[in-house]
Amino acid sequence: MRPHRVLSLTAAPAALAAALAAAAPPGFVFKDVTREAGIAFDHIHGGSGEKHYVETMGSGACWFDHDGDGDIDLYAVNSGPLPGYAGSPRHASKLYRNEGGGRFTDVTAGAGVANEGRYGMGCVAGDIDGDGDRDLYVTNFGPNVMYRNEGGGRFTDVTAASGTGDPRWSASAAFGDIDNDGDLDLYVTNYIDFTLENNKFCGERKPGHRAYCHPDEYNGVPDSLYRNRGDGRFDDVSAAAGVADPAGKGLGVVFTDIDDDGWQDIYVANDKTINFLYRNRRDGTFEDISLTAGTGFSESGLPQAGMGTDAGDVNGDGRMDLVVTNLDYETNELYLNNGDLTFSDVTFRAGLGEPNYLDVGFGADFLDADNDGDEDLLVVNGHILDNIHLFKDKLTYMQPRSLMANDGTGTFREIGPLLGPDFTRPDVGRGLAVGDHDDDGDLDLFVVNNNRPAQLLHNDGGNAPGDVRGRWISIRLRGVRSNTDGIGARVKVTPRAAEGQGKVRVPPPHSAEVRAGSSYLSQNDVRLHFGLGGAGRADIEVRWPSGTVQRLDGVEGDRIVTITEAPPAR
Amino acid sequence: MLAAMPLPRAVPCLPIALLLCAAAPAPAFAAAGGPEAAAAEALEAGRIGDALSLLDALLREQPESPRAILLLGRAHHAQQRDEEAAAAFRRAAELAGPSTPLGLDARCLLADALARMGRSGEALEVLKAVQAAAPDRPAVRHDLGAIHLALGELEEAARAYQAEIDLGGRAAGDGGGSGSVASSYQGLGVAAYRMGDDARALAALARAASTAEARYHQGLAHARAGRPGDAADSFRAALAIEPDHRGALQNLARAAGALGRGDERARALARFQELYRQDEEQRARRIRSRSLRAEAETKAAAGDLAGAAALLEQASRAEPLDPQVRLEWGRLLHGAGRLDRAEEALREAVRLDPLGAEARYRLARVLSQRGDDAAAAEQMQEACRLAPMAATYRILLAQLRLKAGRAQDAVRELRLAKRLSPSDPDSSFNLGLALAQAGALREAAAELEAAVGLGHSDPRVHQVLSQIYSRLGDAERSRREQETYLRLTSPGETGP
Repeated sequence: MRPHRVLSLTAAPAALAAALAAAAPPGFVFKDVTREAGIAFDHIHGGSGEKHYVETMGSGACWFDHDGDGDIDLYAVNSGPLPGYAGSPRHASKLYRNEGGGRFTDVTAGAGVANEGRYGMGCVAGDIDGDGDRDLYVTNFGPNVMYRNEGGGRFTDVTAASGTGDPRWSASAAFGDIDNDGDLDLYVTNYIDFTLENNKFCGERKPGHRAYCHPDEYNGVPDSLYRNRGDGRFDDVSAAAGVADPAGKGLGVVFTDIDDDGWQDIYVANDKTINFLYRNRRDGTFEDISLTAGTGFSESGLPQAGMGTDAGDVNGDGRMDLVVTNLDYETNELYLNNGDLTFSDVTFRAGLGEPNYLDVGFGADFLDADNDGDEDLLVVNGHILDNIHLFKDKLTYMQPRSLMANDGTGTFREIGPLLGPDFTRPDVGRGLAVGDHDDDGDLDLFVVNNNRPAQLLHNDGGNAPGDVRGRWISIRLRGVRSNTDGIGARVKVTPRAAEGQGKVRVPPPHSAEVRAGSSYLSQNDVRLHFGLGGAGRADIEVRWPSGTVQRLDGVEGDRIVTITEAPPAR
Repeated sequence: MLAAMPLPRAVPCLPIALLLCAAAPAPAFAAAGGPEAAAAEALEAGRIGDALSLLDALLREQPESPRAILLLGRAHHAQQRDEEAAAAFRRAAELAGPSTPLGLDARCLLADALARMGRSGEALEVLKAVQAAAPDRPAVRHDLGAIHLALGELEEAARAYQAEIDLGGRAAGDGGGSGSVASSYQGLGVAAYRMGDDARALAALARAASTAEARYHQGLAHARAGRPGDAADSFRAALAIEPDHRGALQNLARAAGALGRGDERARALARFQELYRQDEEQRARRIRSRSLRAEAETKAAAGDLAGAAALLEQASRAEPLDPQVRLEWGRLLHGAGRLDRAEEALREAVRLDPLGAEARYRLARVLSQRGDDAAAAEQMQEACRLAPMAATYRILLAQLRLKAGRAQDAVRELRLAKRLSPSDPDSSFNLGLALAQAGALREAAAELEAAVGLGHSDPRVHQVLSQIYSRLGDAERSRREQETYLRLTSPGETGP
C-alpha cells in the first residue's frame, strides 16, 4: 500500500515518502455487510466450562466457486457440541451460494455439506478428480471428510473411498500438486493428541481461573500428506515423503515454491515447536530445511505459537516470503526469502514488531487491499483464554484486527484503526478468508470469530480508480494439462500505463501463486488479484504447474481475465 | 502457585529482568544491626530458610515492622511466590508510609512482583507514583522502560530509558544510578533495534555493559545494517558470555553463512539444534509426567486408588525431584480417606521441598484427622514460619491450639495473623471465635463485627454474634443478628 501521491516513476525522497505515508488516509474502509448479504453464521464452540482445548481454536472458511458460475461462494465451518454443552445439539457448517450483487443464499441442505455430528475446524476446496468442479475437504476434531462435487450444487461424502479420513485432530489443510502430475494432492496439519478423555485441568483452582491449556501439555501429532492417485483415491505418503515429524503441532500450512523451481514446497506453522519448511526434491519426497532456512523459530531462536501462515512477495523481488502469526508477547514473524534457501527474519525491520505484540494472531493473509501494487498484511486477532484479564491486566480476550500497509519495499505500518468501526471493533478472530465476493475489483474479507457471529467485511473504496492506486486485474486460470484451477501456478504481472493515461503511478512487476489453503483453517479466492496502482493495463506471465509458460501483453485492467492453459510449446 | 499448576495458555510472566529500582537496600539494613541485618544477610546469601526463621522471630515481636515485612516479601520473591511477596510489599509500604524511603523501596519491589504476576498495568501505576513522590530516585525510569519494553511499547520504553540516562548524567555518583544507566543504555539499544533504528541502537549498545543481551542485539543491528563481519563478532561475544544463547547461535549461523564461513555456520547450527533437541526432550518428559498426574486424578476420583498410585509412581519417576507430584498424591489420598498413605506422600513432599508451606499445611490436616494434633501443630508452626502472612495457615494452627485447650495461644496466633494481614476477614472472624471461647465476649463481638465489615460472608458469624449479644444481655442486638442469620440461610438467599 503506497501513499497517495501523483508523480512520475521516480521515487520521492525517503523522508517525504515517509511523511506522506504517515499522513495519508487509506482511502478505503471495510464495512460489515453480513446481514445485507444474507449470511447468518454463528460459530458455536459447544463449550460447557470444562475448557476442552478444542473449543478455543475456532474454525475457518473457504471462498470457492462450487457451482461453476464464475463467482465465489462461501463455505463456513462450524464446530459442534462438547460434553456438558447445554445449547442446541445442531451445529451445521454452511454453504452460501453467491447470487451476484452481494447477495448469498444458504444452500447447505441441498448440497449435503453440513458436516453435522462432527466437530469442524477448517476447509479447503479444489478439483480432485479433474471433472471441472471443485470438491471440498473439511478438517475436524475427529475424522476429516472429503466431499466430492457431483455438479448441480450437490456433494457426496467420498471420505472412505478417497482414503483421506484422517481421524486425528486436524487443523489447516491445503491442496497442491506435489509431483506436477496434473492432479491435486493434499496436505493436512494435525495438531496435538488432546482428546475429550484426556482433558487436563489448567490454570488455577479458584473460581473462574480454570484456563485452556498450553500446547506443552500435550504431544504433537504428525501431519498427513496424501498423494492423489488420479482415480479418486489418495495414498498416505506422509512417512515416505518425509513429512511425518511427530514433533509438529501443526495449525497452519501453505504450499509455495520457495526456490522458484516450479515445484511446490510446503511451509507449516507449528504451535510452540519448530515451524517446518519442506523443500520439494522433485521425486515425491521432501527435505526438511526448517533449521538451515531460518524459518523455524523467532529471531531470538525460540519456537513460537505458530497459528496462521501465508506466503507472498512483500518486497517485489519475485521471491515468496513467509509470515506466521503468533501469541501475545511474540511477534508475527516475517521471513524474507534470500533466494538461496535461506530466509532473513525481518520482523522488526519491516515494522511488524510492535503493533501486534500483545495480540494473538490467527488468520493471516497477504493481500493488496487498496490496489496499489504491493502485498499488505491482514491479521485477525483474539486471545486463546476467555479469562485472560484475570492473568494479565494489559490483555483482553477480544482484540482488534490489524492491517499492515506495505510501502512497496516490504516495510509496513498499521492502518487498521483507520479502516472504520466494523473493522476496528475487537472480536475473537480465528479463520480469515479473502476474496472479491462481488467482483467489484477489491478484496473483501470473511472472518470467523470464535463462538460468535462471523462477519463479511466489504472493501469499500479499494477499487476507486486513481493515479496511484485503485486499478486492478483479477486472473482466473483454467488448467488443461495442469489441475483445473492452476493451483501452484506462478503469475507475474507487469503493470503498464494505458494509452492516453497521463502521469500515473505504475508499480513494479509483482508475482503471486495460485493457492488452495492458507491463513488459518481457511482458503482464499483462487483467482489472483493484482493491484495495478494507477496503471490501466498489464503484461501477464503464467508459469503453470505443467511447466508451460504463457505470456499475454497489454491486457486491459479493471476486469477479471480468464487464462486457459496453452498447449506446450513445440 | 501458578508455576506449579499445569500450564494455562498464557505466558506465565513477563520476560523482564529484576527491576533495578527494587534492588536490595542492603546498607540500610546492615546499619540497623540485629535480626534484621542478619535476615538481610541471609537473603543476600540465598539462605532463604535462615532468613525466614529470623523473620518469624522478628515478626512475632514486631508484627507491624515494615522493615521485617519488606524482608519477608523479598524472601517470598526469591522463592518466586510473587503473590505473597506482593502482599508483603504492599503491607510494608502501608506501614512505613508510601513516600518514606522504606515505603518507596517497598513500592518498587511491589512493582516488580506485580510485573512478574502479569499485572503490568498496575506495576506501571505503582512506579509512576514512586516517580512522582521521588523524582530524583534512580532506576525508576529504567524500570518503567523495562516494563514498556516487555509490553512491546517501544516508543515509551525508549523515552523512559533515555530519561533514566539523562537523570544519571545529572546525578552521577548516586547509589544505584550507574547500574541503572548502563542497563538503560542496553534497554534503549534493544528498543531502538526493534523500532528499526540501527544507528541509535548501536550507539546505545556501545555504552551498555557487556552483557550477552547487549552483544546479541549489537550483532542483530550490525547484521541488519549489512555488516555481517561485525555481526558475527558481536554474536561470538554474546556466546562467550552465554554459550547457549539461542538467538546468538541462530544469528551467528546466518552471519557466518553470509561471510562464506561454512564451518562456523554448521557448528553454530549444530549446537542450536542440539539445544532445541534437549528442550524437546525435557518438554516430552514434562508432558508425560503431567499426563500421568491428570490421569491419576481421574482414577482417584473414580475410586481407583491403586490405579492412581501406579500412575503417580510413574510420574514421580519422570520428575523425581518434583514435590508437586507427591503433594498432589497426598491430596488425592486425603480426599479418598486414605490417611496413612496420605501422610506418607505428604512427608515425602515436605522432604523434597522443606521450604514449601503448602505441603506442611496439608500434612497437618492429615495428622490432625489421624488424631495427632501435637504433630499437626508442629507442622503448622513451621508452615507459619515459612509463610507468616498466610492467614489460612495461622488459623489452622490456632484451631489446633484451641483443640488442645490452649485458648490463649490460639488468640495470640490469631492476633498476630490479624496484625500481619489486617484486611483479611477470616483472621478477624477466627479471632472473634477464639476470643469468645476464651470468654472475652465484648472483644469477640468487636472482632466479629469487624469481620463482617471486611466482607466475611459466612452467615454463621451472625449466629455467633447473636449468641454473644444474648450472653452480654443485649437482647435487641441478639435478635437482630439472629434474624440476619435466618435471612441469609433461608432457601433462595445467596448471601450478601
